[in-house]
Amino acid sequence: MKKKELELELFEGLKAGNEGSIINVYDLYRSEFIHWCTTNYSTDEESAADIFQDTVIAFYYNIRNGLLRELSSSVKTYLFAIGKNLALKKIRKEAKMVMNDEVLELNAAFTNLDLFEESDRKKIVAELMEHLGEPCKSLLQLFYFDRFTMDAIADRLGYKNENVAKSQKLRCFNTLKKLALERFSQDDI
Amino acid sequence: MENTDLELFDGYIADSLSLEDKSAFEQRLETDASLKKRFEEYKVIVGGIKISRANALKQKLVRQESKYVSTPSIKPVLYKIAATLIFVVAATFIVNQFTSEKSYEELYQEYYSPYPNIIDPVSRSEKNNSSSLFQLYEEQKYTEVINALEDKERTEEERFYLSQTYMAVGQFNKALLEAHKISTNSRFYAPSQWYIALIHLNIQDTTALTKQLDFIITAKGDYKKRALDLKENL
Repeated sequence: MKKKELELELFEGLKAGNEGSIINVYDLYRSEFIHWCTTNYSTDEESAADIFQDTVIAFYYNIRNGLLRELSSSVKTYLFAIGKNLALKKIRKEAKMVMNDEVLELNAAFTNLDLFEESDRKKIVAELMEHLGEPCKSLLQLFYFDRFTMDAIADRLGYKNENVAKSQKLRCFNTLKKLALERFSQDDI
Repeated sequence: MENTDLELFDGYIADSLSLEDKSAFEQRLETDASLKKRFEEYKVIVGGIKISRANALKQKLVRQESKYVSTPSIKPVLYKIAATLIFVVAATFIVNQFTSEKSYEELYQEYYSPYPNIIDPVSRSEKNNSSSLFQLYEEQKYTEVINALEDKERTEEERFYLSQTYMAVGQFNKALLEAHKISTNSRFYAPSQWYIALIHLNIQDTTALTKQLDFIITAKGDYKKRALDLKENL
């Protein structure tokens, strides 16, 4: 299979929310990325792998959330652009120094890294998700992160129809919110 | 939270409201302090859900990264990565021993990933209107797979993927029954033994889990390393 066809197939897989495609993207570009990152950003290999993992997740998130609908460049170009942003962000954070912003292409798929903006309260909610259990955890993740439709979620999680899944989602969200607000109020005391 | 609130917030964030509704909502946010407070809470909750999913995906990729450690044909430069990762994993393990133990549910999330469709993977470059059962499985159309396979006589391959499908939808008892029927000379025997262990992990049957992991470790197959890792983490 030609590289372009392979890239298109991977992109379509990510668009469809296929987790196998996330792994395939990781395997395909991992070595090249780690070599590039260690060479250009003076990171060690462990940090480069860490950055690449975040890169692939951000790429998938941006595709599923409609920030990247069609491939106008190669998958590699997108990955390396996101990776560059994340590497710079990591270096800035670790060095705690101000660097001049490098001018990157002003494309939301490259620059939207909100996913990694973690406030303390969001981290608490993420912890509480572990206590929420299934099917709530998967249902909320599939809706808010992967952006599956309620119809697709109903099909995937075995609900009778979209409306049943929607009611369950409301119950799950309210339970999580209740847990979170209780925890926030304890922390405020 | 009322359903109307949640639907309104979801619609606003997804940018699916009409211009009129969007503008009305933004105006209400400026004047209705209670609505604004609920919307701020909503954004924090959704942010937390996203972090939780990103963390889960991260764990899968970290696990994928660890596979490079044991690949014998990797280039010498990658051995350094492998050595570093082994150290990190070992250090994390030691630290975890003294700090926190992972719950069975967390371990399950960490170790479980659906077995890929190796029979006839979906090719998106080929136009094909009808999908095989295995392709339906790959496309996560689990209800269709169950409906098609549940009441028929199944081949070994179908049995294995039906078991996988049951796992994916959380029907672990059925998944276990199906996985136990895979014969020892099937190419899916070794993976099915690993998934049996994961089912025991999910349903928290400690005795059966330990026994199954020991069986996999003794068999010295492809799943030995994973079984050893899991056993150490219990």
